Amino acid sequence: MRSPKPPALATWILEHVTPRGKNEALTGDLLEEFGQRRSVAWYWRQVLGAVVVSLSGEMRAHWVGLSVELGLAWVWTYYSFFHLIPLLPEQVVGDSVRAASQGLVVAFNGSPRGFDPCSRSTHNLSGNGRV
Amino acid sequence: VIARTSTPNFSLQLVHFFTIIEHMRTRASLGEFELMVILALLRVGENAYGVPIAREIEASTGREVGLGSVYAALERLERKALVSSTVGEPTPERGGRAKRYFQVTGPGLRQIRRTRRTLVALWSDLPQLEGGKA
Repeated sequence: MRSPKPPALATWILEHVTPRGKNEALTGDLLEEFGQRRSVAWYWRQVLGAVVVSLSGEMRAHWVGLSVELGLAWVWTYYSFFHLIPLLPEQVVGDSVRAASQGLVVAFNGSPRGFDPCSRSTHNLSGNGRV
Repeated sequence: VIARTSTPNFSLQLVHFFTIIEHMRTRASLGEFELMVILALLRVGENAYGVPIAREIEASTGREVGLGSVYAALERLERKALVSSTVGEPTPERGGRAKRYFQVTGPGLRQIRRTRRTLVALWSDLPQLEGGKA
């Protein structure tokens, strides 16, 4: 049996990922078609297809600016990695890398009990077992 | 004494430069899917919007068509001034969203005729395609 309502998440994605102003007619068309005869799978297919088409179209339309931005980002990364970071004190680099790695662990696994990412004693949790 | 005219305030920002380069790339000719969309739009006639256009293409090709692709093609055609659109009234069955009706413009019709002439000329006198055997 077909669900009477389209997936709200799909509609939300369509309205927030595709450029504002261009999606109202498209969203309305999808809702109209879904109300008449289409399945939830069809709705998801259409939404994901529309998102891909919209994003690729935006990238194609603004390829010059995007290329310049990517180039600048690459130059900045290269310069900072090989020229700026070696100038920093070793302690600062070590602390930064440690904090970043702990931040990634927390982002993926969630914060362990009693773990405060802002605390200076945070690095004790990952090191020698002394808390 | 000739009055000295003020220098026009002409400042070309970097973002304008990018936009000009991007627009230089816009093709005037019709791509395959754009041609299908604009022909479907002609076949639907008045009150043509996304759903009937997509259904017309589906009926002709026998394949499911993405409404997002149809709208992307229509927007490209509108940028080339080959179609124009008007916004209709919102309706409850569409969740309060308005329809967008499309029409083929005069330049659009001329472009379709030009494309047909080109394609017919290319299709004619091809012995490899005669007889129905690949």
